[in-house]
Amino acid sequence: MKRERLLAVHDDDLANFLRSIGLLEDLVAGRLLCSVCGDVVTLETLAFIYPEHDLIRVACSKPTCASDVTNRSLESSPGTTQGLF
Amino acid sequence: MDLVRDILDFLARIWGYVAAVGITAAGLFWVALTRIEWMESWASTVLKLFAWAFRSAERGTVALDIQSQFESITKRINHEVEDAIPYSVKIAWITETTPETFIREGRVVVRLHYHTHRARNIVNAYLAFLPKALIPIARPYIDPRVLRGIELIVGKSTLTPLGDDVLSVFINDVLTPALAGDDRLRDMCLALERVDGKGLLTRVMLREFLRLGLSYYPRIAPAELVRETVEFMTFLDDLARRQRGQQVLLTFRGRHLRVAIVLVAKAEVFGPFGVTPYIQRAVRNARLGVHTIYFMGWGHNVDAVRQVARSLHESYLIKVAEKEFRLSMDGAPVLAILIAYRNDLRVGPDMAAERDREFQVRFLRSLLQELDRLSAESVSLSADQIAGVVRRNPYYDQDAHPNPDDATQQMLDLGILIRVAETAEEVRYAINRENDVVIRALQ
Repeated sequence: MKRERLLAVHDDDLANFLRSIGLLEDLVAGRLLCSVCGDVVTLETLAFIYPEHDLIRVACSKPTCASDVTNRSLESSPGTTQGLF
Repeated sequence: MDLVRDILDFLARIWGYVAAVGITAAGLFWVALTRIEWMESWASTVLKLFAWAFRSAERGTVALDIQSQFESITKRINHEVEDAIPYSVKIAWITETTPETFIREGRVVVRLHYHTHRARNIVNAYLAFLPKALIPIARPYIDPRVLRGIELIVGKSTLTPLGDDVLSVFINDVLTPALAGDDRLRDMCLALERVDGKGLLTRVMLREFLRLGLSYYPRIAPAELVRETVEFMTFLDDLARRQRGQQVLLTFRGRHLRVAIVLVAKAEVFGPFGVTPYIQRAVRNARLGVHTIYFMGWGHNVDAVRQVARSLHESYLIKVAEKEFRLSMDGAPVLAILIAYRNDLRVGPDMAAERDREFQVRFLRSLLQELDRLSAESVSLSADQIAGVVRRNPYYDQDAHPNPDDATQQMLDLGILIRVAETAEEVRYAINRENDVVIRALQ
């Protein structure tokens, strides 16, 4: 069966990855908000990182936020495998 | 010569070992090809032993565990409805990039924790995977709440075998918060859970939605089509809630979804009448333009369903699936069977006349064969018996003729002639005289 890539960042690499995209300082300082629920995202609650309209957004681990992020990705490309993977 | 003999002796001695090694290697190769999830699961377990020492082993055990679980979930769902999930997952780790590259590539990144947080990792990856992968081509045509409900109920049932910890994270962190404050979604999930409990969620609902997607994609979804998906869910829920002996609607004839369920459930029907009533219903529904006909039965009726399917010889009904599964009836697990037929009979307003004529021909041809058989046995038929022969005919259209007495009038008229006929030739002559459609059909 065909396999699609699911991009993932491991806890081991999280700090390095966030630094590389310029988000680490803001996250540590509590300046990043969840793009869905608006809550402050911390290192503990960070679940998704994704680009949208030339900006990098983050979403927290609440299931409703996770669902919203994946659905936003779907809306941009319904019925295709682009976007999320 | 001694050297050759020694070599042959040696080969003869080690032949058993060579064969054993060869068979083992072939077996492993077969497993690697067909059961990749097993290989990944084993590899994940081995890497876990070294995860404390090596970062690559830690990443490897997390990725392989998720991949193997998703591979088995995908296979399980696809076994119930083919191509419901067209692909599985490969975890691709990202360690660093640049903001420009990240924005340009436009991909969502999921955070995964250490392997000790297995349940959380699987649920996180599942949340990212399922809404993308489950019946992707049909998603634009399904009511969003129904779709969300399907994801939640399919999620619950597919994650259950992965362990209590995974299920607990899913229920506490995903299902319960999703339903809080959304009573409509809660009601839909309850309905979908009942439908799933009767084995109809994947095998019927997802199959029909997938067919819908294949028919419509990439056209824009008409509003009434999306509404119809909610009505279809309600139709299946009514069926799932059906109590023993209760009459419920078994046909859904929407504009876009047209499905007939033929339940083989009553011994008092199958016993005396055999397969005929079920074939009649299937043929009648095919004539009325349903897209798919599902024969279903459970317990001691499983063999009866198979018997009905074996007796179905209509060329336009194409068997597309036969699924055996277990469902819970009155708290006890029973074996159930569902056999799906695609209706390839061309239907539509422009085809109505041709379709009706085709059925008339089939009806009369079939009737003639039966009467031929009876007359060959020198059976003297009464008017009631003739009417009975007509009613039992698979092509008899009860919907077109709600009053059986009126519907059989033409056949009764023939019956008057047939009654006085003593041979098959005379029966044939009687029918031919009365109906030129039969003459054309026989030519």
